[in-house]
Amino acid sequence: MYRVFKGKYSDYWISDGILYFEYHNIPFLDLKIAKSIVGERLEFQEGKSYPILCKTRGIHDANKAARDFLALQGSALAIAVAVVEDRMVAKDMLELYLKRNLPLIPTQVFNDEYKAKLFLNTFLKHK
Amino acid sequence: MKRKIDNDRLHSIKELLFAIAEGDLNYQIERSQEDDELESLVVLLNWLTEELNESLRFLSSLNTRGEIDNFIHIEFILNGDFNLIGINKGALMQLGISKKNAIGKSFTSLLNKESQQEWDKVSELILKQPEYTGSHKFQFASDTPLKKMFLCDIHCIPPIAIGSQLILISCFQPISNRKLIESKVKLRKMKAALDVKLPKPKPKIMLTHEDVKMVQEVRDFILQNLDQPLPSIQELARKHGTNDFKLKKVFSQFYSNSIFRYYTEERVKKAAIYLKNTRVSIEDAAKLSGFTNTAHFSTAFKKYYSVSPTVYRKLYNQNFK
Repeated sequence: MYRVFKGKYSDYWISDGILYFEYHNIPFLDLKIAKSIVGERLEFQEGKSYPILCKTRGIHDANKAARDFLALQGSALAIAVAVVEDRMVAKDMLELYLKRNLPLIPTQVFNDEYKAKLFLNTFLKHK
Repeated sequence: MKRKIDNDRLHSIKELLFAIAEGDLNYQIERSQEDDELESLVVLLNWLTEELNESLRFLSSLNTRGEIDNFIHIEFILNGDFNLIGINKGALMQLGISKKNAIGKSFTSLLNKESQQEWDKVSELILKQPEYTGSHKFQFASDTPLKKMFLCDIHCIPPIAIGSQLILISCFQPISNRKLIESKVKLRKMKAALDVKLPKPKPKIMLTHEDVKMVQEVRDFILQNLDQPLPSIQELARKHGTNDFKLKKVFSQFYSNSIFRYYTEERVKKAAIYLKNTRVSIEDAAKLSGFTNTAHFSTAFKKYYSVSPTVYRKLYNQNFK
């Protein structure tokens, strides 16, 4: 069993050493929401670093201030990030985001959760 | 046969390209719920326009054809019920309405749906704090397929000051680079006339595409290795195919900061996130941010935030209040 933390904008839980992170429905991600999300996640992690599986399905769009903040501060206490996304537009958004902001930690986008977990497992072994 | 929504989106893309061609980077295309190639184009164009706008703001515009081509000053004056009691020419021009039609209208009726929600939040804040000041982005209602973002300054004058509440909302579009340079020269001359000692402006060097690429690589390297000691400038320069003099010069010109200060400030900012959002000890927050010496960390932190890490935590972390 794992404990699920229900945040204002996303849910978090830890399973097999991986932090799962699922956004709620966010029509437009702005800086205030981005700061709140990172803050909640860090509080939940209690100072420990994890590989993170991030489900971005709830996000419809984001502004530049939020994107810039997440690119720099969003990787705090993260070992690696696997983003699970299957929407065409969202994948293009992520591709542009990763091109513009070189990730500070290993980051990849996956269509399905299974492949995302395999990617993150490689970081668990090195822990 | 093309669906109406496809035609509308194609039309919006064309309109945005025209706006960019005219040098205006403040427009965005209204998003739809579609998940297809066309919607991808819409979002990529929106994001790139936003990125370009951010990069060029206050420096130049894409196509300056005249001194005041890209300068609009917009002003609204509202009463305590948030109705318009004053509006300037720029605002009337932008909204395409007459003064007679505007006066007495509620401010929210001038905004599009998304911004009406934002305004609802702002008006609540004003009701709670009659002296509220702040900046918010609004889009005004229009018939065009594109939406334009305006970063507005809101300044409230409380009833105690003049008998009734007044709310001033103003914003402006950046002026051309030429105008900015002229203003700077004027300011310098004025200050010189007043016999104020001015720091000598540092000569700037022309940056090539390679310089920009190199300096961004150095920045990425620093950000990716914040937990490691910073290599010497000579070593950094050698790694990125340049010399230390040029690296220092280009970096400070590009980021308005020295390499070492940038590295320290980024580590301090990282530590602030831990102090604000976690219960880790100050020593651990320092370590997680790449500081090996807590005393050095505290000094650097205080220099940047003007308060010590302990005070910062007490001020911003709910768990330590």
